[in-house]
Amino acid sequence: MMRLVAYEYKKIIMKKGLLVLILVFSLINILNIIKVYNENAFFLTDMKNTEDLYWQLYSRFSGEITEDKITQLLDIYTPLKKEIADRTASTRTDHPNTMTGNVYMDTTFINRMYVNPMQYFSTYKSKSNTIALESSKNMEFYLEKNNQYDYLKSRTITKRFMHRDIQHFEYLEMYEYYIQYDISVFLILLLGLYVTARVFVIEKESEMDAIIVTTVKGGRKTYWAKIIATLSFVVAISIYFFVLDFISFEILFQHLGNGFMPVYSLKRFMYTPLRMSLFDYSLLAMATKIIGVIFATTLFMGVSCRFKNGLLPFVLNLVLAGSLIVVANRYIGSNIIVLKAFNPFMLLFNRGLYMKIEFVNVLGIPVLIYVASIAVTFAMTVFLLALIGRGYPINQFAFKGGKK
Amino acid sequence: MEIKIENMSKKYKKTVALSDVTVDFDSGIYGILGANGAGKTTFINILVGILKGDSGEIYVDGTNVRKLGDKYLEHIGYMPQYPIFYKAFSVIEFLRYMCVIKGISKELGEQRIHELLEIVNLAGSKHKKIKELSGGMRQRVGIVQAMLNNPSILILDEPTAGLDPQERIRFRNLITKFSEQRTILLATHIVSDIEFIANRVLILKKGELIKNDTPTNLRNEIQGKVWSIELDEDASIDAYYQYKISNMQRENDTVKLRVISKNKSLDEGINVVPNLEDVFLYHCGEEIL
Repeated sequence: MMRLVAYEYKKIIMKKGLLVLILVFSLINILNIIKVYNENAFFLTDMKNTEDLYWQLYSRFSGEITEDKITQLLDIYTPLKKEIADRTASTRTDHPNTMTGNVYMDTTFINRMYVNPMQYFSTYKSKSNTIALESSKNMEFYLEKNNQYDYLKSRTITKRFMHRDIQHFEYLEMYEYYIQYDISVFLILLLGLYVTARVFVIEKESEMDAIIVTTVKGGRKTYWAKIIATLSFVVAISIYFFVLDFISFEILFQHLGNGFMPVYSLKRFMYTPLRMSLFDYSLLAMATKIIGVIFATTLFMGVSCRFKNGLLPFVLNLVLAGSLIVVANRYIGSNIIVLKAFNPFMLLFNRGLYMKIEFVNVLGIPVLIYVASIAVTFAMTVFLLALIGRGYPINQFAFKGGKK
Repeated sequence: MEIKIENMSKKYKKTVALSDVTVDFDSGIYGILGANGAGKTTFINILVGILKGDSGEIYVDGTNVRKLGDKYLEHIGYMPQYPIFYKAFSVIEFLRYMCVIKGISKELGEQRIHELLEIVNLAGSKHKKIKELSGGMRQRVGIVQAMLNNPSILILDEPTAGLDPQERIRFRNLITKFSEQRTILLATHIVSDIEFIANRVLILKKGELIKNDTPTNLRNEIQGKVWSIELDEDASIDAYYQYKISNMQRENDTVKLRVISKNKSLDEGINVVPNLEDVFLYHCGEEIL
């Protein structure tokens, strides 16, 4: 089988054109990440010239959150807040008794970069405990009312939100943008489209389909070799692009080593059902995207296997992928659960599935939306593979007793 | 190896592509003649398992091929019409790939590739890309791939289509070379491909097997029905529409016609010895004219 897969690689993937495309797409991707950095990074936009100051203070306030650090921070922030309260403070930009040259700027800087995040981190424990506590009360209520579905839902919420805590203050700007970055997924899909357009067409164009079908390994084994080669390629290329994303963001945002912070350290993940570190979440998001890429590639293959040339299915797949991506993006933060859970393309932009705890009712059992979405995508992929396999030419005599 | 085909039939919607064909094959070269659409490719496609027949059975040495399963495919070498192959592969890469999908071990595969490339005189071109090969060279690669598994049954569908006369002669010689201890089925509508190399000739017409005999017997069957006649230009045109003409040859101001007719229809006609082309025209003429 491995030799068959290697030859499928040679037929479909080992092409100079594809290599050039990967290189060009890598460059486009890096340039896009640089653009994200230039347009959003604190120290390049709103907080220009405050970078040195930030890192100066960072050595004092980063690390484990203590009462002492909170007091010190408030000691800096409270007088500033008072000073600008009536908006009569000096607007000089070279004020000698300020950190940034301007008292308003000092206040905004300290508030945005330290006070706000510190407040969120230090109060998260009590907020999540409140959610867990309320949910456990709901559990009792639904148990009394014999409402099994809502009881199970509340039980999951209680479990997921209990004992949450953010114990450290760390600089997390990179993750804010990294988790929202989607360009690489589009590039991977384009590469997938390019490759899948050729997978089955190559035999039809070269008239090899007739020869292959008359050989011992020409039926199911060649089919699986094609599937393994194509899917392993898109998985490998996805990993490459996701690692490239991560490294590029890390380098640009100088953010090494803060991945141990819990994923709910990011405000937009305040209600996430996940209990893992940001780094682990990054890996989970990558894996989820890869499942989505596998589905998309299988779908592309399903369309292209019916055609005798590569161009028309390429265009059709492009339109199909575009439509499903638009739907996925439109409903990424929506409450319309069905559109999130049953659109496999949602896995490509999966933060919408992980940001808040949501359930899908599966035969009276509340299933977390991301679990349902992954399961649905997996089932659809298997179904598509079976469907494509059924249409793949098999020799009439390949099985004892005739074609099955 | 004996191959027996019993009552093979195939319909495409309302069109009968193959009708109740029963035939036995032993070692030797079998030419399958028929006009375009006569059912040659359908017959071959069913034989190699590309198509499923509507009815009929195939037996190899008395065993139904359905019982043989994959084992049957090990006996087959097949070359389809107009093979293009993978243009980006070199000859040797392509043949190695064919060894893999035919389940031939690496060592044996290398040995077979080099032997066969020597036989077909392509050893010097083994590193050439398929796209760089001429039509004739590509056909030779085609027969090498079909021969890699040393098949007992070699099936060639229109193998000389598109080849120049020199390449066709070369290809015919190769087929003869490979025919020892092997059944070769060669489907063609080019009669000269099989005239002198086939042990038996099968003629298919509208899906029916109308003849299955040696070339000599087939020629003898129409003895006395082939005529040669010399006419002027205008008369030759009239004759063209009146008779089955197997050949026209211009000589100075006259045209020499080879006419197939049960009766001596033209007074000046001279009876000539039939060839296989005459046989083909005699049986399939309506389809040609």
